[in-house]
Amino acid sequence: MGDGLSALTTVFTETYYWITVVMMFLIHAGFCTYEVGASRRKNVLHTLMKNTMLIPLVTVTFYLFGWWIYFALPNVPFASGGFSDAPWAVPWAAEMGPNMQDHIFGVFWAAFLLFSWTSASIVSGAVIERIKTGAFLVFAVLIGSVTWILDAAWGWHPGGWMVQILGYHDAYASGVVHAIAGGSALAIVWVLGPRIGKFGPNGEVRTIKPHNPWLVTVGLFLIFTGFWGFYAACNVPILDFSGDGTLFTATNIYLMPTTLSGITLNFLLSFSGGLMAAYLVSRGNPFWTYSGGLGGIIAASAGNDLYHPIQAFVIGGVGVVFMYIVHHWVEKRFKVDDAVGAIAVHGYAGFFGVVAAGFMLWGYPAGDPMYGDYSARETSIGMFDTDGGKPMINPLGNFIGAIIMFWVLGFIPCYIVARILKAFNMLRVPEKVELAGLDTHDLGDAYPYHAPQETEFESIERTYAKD
Amino acid sequence: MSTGLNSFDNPQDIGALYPGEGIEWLMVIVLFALWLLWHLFQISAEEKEYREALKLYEQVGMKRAMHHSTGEVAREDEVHIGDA
Repeated sequence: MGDGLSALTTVFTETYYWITVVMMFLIHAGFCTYEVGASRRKNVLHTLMKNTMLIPLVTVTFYLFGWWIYFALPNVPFASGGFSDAPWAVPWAAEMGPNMQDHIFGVFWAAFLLFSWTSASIVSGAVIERIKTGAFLVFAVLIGSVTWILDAAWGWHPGGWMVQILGYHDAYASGVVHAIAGGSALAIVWVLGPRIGKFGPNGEVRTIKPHNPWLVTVGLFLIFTGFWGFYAACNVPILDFSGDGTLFTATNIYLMPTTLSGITLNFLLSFSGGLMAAYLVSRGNPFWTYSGGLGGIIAASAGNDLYHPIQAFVIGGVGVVFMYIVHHWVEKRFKVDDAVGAIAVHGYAGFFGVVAAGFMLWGYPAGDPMYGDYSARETSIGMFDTDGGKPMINPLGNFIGAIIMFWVLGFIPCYIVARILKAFNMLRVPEKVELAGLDTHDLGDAYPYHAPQETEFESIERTYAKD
Repeated sequence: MSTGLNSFDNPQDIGALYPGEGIEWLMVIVLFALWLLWHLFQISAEEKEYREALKLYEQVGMKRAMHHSTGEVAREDEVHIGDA
């Protein structure tokens, strides 16, 4: 450290990201709690372990290659720039361990890792009660350590080609984390098929109730709490924005100025808009109302660094109505069994959020002109530029960006892998195992002391059993 | 194996603190192999569980296997005791 002030700045930044990591652990605690609550008694332990084991696998693979992807691949694929040199992000770099010359890299890596866990974990809920754990963990690595971080290199890295050419803006990851995870989940569920008995012989949708609604709601509260860390981790604290010694206390992920105070207001107002809209549209259904709180935040996240809080409120509310309508239409029309509404809350609301930000923030600078390696360009290469010569946020750029996130990097890779796994009979558990319950054989009943009780759906399910 | 450090007199010259500096590539190969092996073992174990489960459910009948949620758990050991 050169002096006391730089040491203080360093330790503040280090601690800042470190705390966001701790807070984001709550997102994962929430996902586990939520999924376990949403699953039926016979699948509780399998559901828990499926989600839990993505944590170490995504951690290991993000260490091995995920982190490098973010820094090495921000340029247009096959067209400009090629790979960026990122020797500090390869797993054998001296910076990837205790190093006296580096104090921030590890905590910054960890913040991104927690985004990776979140991306993979979002998918976990949609596929519960019928996917093989081994198959899900392959998807977790694909999403958590390859596709999401590739889209972050393209659309979150300040020098990413989507930012520089399209003017893509997605400050708190409506598309970069949520839409891609939603698109991935849709692809997997599409190939995987619905749980046995979910749809009746005439196509009617049957409700499969959670075994524990309190775990579902507490899980979502934990996710809400962890999202504070998620938001803070998307900012860069203390940055000399113009290079003249003028320090900003917060910039967004694109190194453009915002304030922690502003995003706090927008977080809470979009959350409230989502809850209120979801309550009305679902007629007070607790599952959809809680999911709507999360959906409201996600719908406004792309522009929550810049919106007025009332705009965030309205966008959060409209986004939730959109996701609710699309979810039920897709469920009925295509027989898609999204067990926890993950595709709706993350995919549809995230897609909506990216598109909305393109219109709402039209004309604002998306970032400074730069190459993928953070070196400045003299002129912008954007399709649309501001008067000041910076790539400009615009509706077309964000719409194309939403398509890339949900379909190109979300749906397509997972659809291909799901088809391959299905061809090798590695995707779905055998029918009899699903009917008996995924816990039944090895793990056993999670609640052996509970009084026996059969639900209405279980009696329907028995009609599918053939000896 | 040692860190190779025994003094902090010139902290500006100190980089990596961990033992094994210079053979990180070897540790990366080990981690890569362990990751892939873990997947293989997990998939293998899961397939074995399902094979055994199907065999058992064939033996006891699906109606009984599905009594799980009413407290009559179709675990292999319990079924064996009951069927003996």
